[in-house]
Amino acid sequence: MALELALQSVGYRYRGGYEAVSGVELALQPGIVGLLGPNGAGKSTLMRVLSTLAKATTGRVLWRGEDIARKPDALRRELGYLPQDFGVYEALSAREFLAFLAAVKGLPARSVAARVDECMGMVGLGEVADRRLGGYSGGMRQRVGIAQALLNDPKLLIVDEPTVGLDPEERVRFRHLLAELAGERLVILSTHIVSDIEASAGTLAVMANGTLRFHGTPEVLMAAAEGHVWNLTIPSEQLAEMRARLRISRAQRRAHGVEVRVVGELAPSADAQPVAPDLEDAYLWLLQRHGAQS
Amino acid sequence: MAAAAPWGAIVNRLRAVAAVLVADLRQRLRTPRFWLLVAGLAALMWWCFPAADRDFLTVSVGDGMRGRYSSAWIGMVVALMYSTTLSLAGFYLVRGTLVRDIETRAWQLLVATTMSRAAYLLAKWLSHLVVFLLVMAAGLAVGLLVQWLRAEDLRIDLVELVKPVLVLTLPSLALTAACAVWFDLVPWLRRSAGNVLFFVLWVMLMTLGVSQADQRPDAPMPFPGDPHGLLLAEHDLSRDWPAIDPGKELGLSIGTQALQDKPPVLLEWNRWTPDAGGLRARGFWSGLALVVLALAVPLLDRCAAHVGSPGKARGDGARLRWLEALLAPLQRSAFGALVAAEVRLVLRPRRAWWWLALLVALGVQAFAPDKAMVVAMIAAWMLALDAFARLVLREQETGTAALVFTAPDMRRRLLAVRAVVAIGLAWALVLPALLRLAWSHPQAALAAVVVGVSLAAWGLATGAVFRNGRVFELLALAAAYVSVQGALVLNVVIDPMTTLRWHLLTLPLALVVLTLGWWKQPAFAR
Repeated sequence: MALELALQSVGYRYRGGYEAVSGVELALQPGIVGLLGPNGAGKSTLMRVLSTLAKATTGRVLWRGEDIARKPDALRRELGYLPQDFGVYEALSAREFLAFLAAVKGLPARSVAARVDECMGMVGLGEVADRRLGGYSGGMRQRVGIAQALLNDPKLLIVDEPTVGLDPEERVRFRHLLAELAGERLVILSTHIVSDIEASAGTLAVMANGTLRFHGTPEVLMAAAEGHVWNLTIPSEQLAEMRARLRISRAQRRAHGVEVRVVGELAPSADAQPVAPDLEDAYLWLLQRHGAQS
Repeated sequence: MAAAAPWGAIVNRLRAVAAVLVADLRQRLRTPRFWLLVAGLAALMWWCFPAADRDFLTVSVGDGMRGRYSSAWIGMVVALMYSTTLSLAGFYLVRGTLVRDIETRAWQLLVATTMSRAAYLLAKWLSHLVVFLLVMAAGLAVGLLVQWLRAEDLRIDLVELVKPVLVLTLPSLALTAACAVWFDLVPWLRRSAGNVLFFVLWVMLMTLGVSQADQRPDAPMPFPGDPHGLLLAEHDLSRDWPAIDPGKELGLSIGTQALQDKPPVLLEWNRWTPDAGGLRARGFWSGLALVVLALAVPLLDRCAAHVGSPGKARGDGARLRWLEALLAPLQRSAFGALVAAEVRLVLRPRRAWWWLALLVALGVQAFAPDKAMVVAMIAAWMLALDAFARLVLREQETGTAALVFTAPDMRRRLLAVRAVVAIGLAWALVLPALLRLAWSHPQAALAAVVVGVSLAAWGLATGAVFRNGRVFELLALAAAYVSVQGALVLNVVIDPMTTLRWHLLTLPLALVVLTLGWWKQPAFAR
């Protein structure tokens, strides 16, 4: 069966009645899929559904044609998952913890040691592999989380806000790693930071208020914002007023004022220059069109 | 304006206390489980008021005597029952709220405000007391219902009903609430060690009360008496009923007393008038609770800095190279590797004193006479109480559920691993005794094997259902305490076949509870 993850009208309603995800339709093939959306858009809930930690309350999710609610193990065998928040066993070393999770994932015992070493190397933890996790920094733990997701060489890799807690250097390294890993697998990267995915994602899915607002390539998203992004320079004292009135994607202080990039239906002023949108502008324009807060 | 400023500061402090108190209570009271527990405890109170034609008493005096069910006597029964039982069980019920603030880092948000440390701790203590008051109010409501239904004395007197609870029980529970704050605060008391230590403390305080008892009708009330108010109750009942059994002491008894086909003798008691000395004694214990609480204030910041899992609070533990050698063969299979990891996680965080205590217990099991051997067996099981109680909670406590339960078939496999480790641990801890008994007393050895399985199963089951280890820890400690004194629960030598039979009978229930609880855990369901 082809490597495909299909979401058919997937929805998730919490017990209190709050509908976090509603009517999501997606068909995802190998490559990096960037799942973008503001905080509270429903991304993490959708990630939990896709990783079999929660069952969709409506619709269904098919992995290689199998309903994951009925046969979760079909997906779990090929899944690597890095949740947004996770804990570790602090009394174990990173190597022991990964060996434990390798056993959890059902890796053959004889290949565990080599695979653990390989994954530790991929995330740059080879030299501290025997230190207890209790002594690891937040960024190092995050890297352990990434390593554990790779242990079973997953065909479906789901990473939820993976760069939170990483320093800029680690963040860049992680992006490169993800790009290398993509190949023949499906990588779903959920984030609210556009720069995390702008260079690597071949497909984007944008969520807001629990629903899917866009699914397509970054180029299509950017093309949709064409003619809705302007550049202008204003006196710095006008910046606050402009922020309140317009959606500003970027502001940079210059010698003669503040250069702002504005996203909107109409030009903010007569002297505003139309510019080609980048992914961040296009994302903001999409949210603005749908009345969502970034 | 100058006069208004201090007043405003006081109001602000009170508002801060109220805000923490309300938030804390919301967090506790918004779970159906809490209200079920309150209803359950209230229902148990019904059992404390048997009808006159029943063959047992729960609170009695002399030989088969009790007060007629007036408001005053019902209030006294409720007060005595809660003063003794809730002062123990209540600790396990209310503790954990500070730990939650510290572990969830909510404490960091509070630290950054102008709220004083004293106000914060006072709010937590008050929150514990409000929970106790809710439980007691439910018990008193049941008492009122009893008074109406039993119709032995239909004059409702709310002041007399509530008075014993306020005078006797409240100081006792105030002390328990202060202990709950302390045990949440001190890092090494936050979990099982604290639960065990509080049980020991409670037994000591109980013994303190009993050891001071002088039940002659004219005996003075010792100051300050006992924290639970038993001495005061006995003193005042003895004063009010000087002639129920001439020449003998009153014999106040709390707990089931069989009447052996005799109807109970009902005594009139409509009013309780504690004297100034008695009130001073109760005031002393209330004051002591506040002092204990105040002593925690300077430690708050230092203790709260110990954030993180217990493993971190306790340090990384020993490397245990001998254990690695033992576990090496297990690594050859996936199931064995999981077992090995569990064993490491259970044993590594243990400190030197734990290993020393275990060594002593194993030595006593191997060489001491039978009586001491049984005590050493029970002690060894209690040493691993936290493992039995919390093994099933590991993912919840370490936040690893999302990593572990996204693996195929993991619920079933992990449950099997945990069961193997828990049972293996229960047997390993009493191995010398098992070997000795297998030779000299095979039935007792068999009983020990079954008790080991039962401890493991009930530990896992209660953890899965209640999602904390405290319930099992309390039950197991109580079972250990009575077993050391000769009860059959964990004592496998006195009447091994009865012990074995009872454990075998309850085992299927434990397995059903475990299965339901484990599969219903929200971390990996919806």
